[in-house]
Amino acid sequence: MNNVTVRKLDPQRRETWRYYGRLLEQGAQYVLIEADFNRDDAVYHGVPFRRGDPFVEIYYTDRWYNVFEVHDRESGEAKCWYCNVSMPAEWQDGLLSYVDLALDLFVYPDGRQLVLDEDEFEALNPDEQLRQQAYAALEELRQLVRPQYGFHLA
Amino acid sequence: MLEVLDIFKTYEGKPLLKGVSFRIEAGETVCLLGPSGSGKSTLLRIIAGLETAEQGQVRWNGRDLGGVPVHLRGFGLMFQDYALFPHLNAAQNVAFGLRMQNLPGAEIERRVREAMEQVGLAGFMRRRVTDLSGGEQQRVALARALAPRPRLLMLDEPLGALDRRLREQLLDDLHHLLRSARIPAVYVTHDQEEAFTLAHRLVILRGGRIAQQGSPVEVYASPASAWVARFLGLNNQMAGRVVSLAPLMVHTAAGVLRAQAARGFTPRLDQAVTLLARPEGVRFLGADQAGTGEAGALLDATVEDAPFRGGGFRLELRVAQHLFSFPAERPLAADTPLRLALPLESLVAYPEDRDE
Repeated sequence: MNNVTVRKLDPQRRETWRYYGRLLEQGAQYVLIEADFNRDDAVYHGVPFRRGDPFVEIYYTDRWYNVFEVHDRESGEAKCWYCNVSMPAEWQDGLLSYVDLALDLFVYPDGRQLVLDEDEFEALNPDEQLRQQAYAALEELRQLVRPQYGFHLA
Repeated sequence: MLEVLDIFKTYEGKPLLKGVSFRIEAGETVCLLGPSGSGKSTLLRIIAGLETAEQGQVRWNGRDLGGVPVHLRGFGLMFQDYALFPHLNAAQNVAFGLRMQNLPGAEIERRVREAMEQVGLAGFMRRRVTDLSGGEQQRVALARALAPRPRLLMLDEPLGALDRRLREQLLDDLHHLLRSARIPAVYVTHDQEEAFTLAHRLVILRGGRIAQQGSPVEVYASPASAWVARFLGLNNQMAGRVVSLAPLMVHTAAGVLRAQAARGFTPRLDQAVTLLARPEGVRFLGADQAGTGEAGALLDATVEDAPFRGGGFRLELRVAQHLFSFPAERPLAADTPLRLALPLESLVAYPEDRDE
């Protein structure tokens, strides 16, 4: 049963996307959920996404990013990781909100990494502090999400 | 005027000069600046004709000076150990080189007076050099180099042995003298302050090669490498790794910082770099104060010390494991936490460059 509501917000805290997922695990500083891809089939950066692909997603209340592990609905294998640089997530009573900062890291199973939307991030007119935070988060992600060395969320 | 072309020289089997070329134009003062062992004094001695290069040429107005002995090159020399003759008075010391040229007595007297006036010692003609102060002796030595009206003046650390106050005074004198006499000059020093004061153009030597040449203003504003920057006293440097190219972001012990690539440098992702924090435009904010929104970098720092430096203070700051210093109008107590805000152009990324 879907028991978690996820709200993606822009820096002005306007909701830009909402979807629902299932709580898998929660700790003092993180929430792990599973949600199904609810859009039409599409190819992102060479990886096919299909309606119903299970996403395992981890959100942190003290880190400036979240990580989505995209599994294939047929084989169950992880086919890519989509990481969002964001402000730390807020988690209360089944409602999970995060302010997205546009900057993303896309990671292939062989470890190749793509940084996405740096220009969109700049368009947010970040101040020095926000830019440093965001790129520090991006760098942490680049070090963390290394599937070639066995990284896995689920 | 003077052309130095592709000079090579080894000393006891070790390469000392590895292909050095530069020019001196009419009226120009060129400072050969480098740490000890960079080859600058050897280069000067080769130009003077005191040593011979294994490869390359020294030319004057297009003519190769190879085989032309020291005294026929028409260059005036002044070295740190200026070796005045103690048994002669000041004027006799200055006249010494002129007598060697067999000039008539009246001409010698005229030139000695002229040279002594140039160095501000007109009233010291008959004084014994042993009764003169160190600075006055230095001027006599300079007058001796000027009296034969050399077509090029060569000076090798002439102020090296003097105390600070005297050095500063003579530096000013030398500056005015070289500018008013309009004699082309080569001045060898390891001291960037001397070089900045005197040079129309700097030739910076490192390990027998030219690390950079240009006017003092150009070189200071845009050092060609992290090493040149350090050599010029821009010591606020830290190691980093490029984590993003557009914008350029560098991972350092002090955080992930926005930087500007040095002129001519195209960074690659994950490349090791040296970041230089220049003092221009730095602002000192409260420890948790946010920036102003303009592009740049914020670094958390702790005050280590703030010694008074006449006219202001020097803030010595701990930034991660690095010790940085910046000029400041006001002192801050040791252990005060603060935040440095650097404008984008003041955090400059260079290819990694460590002292060997």
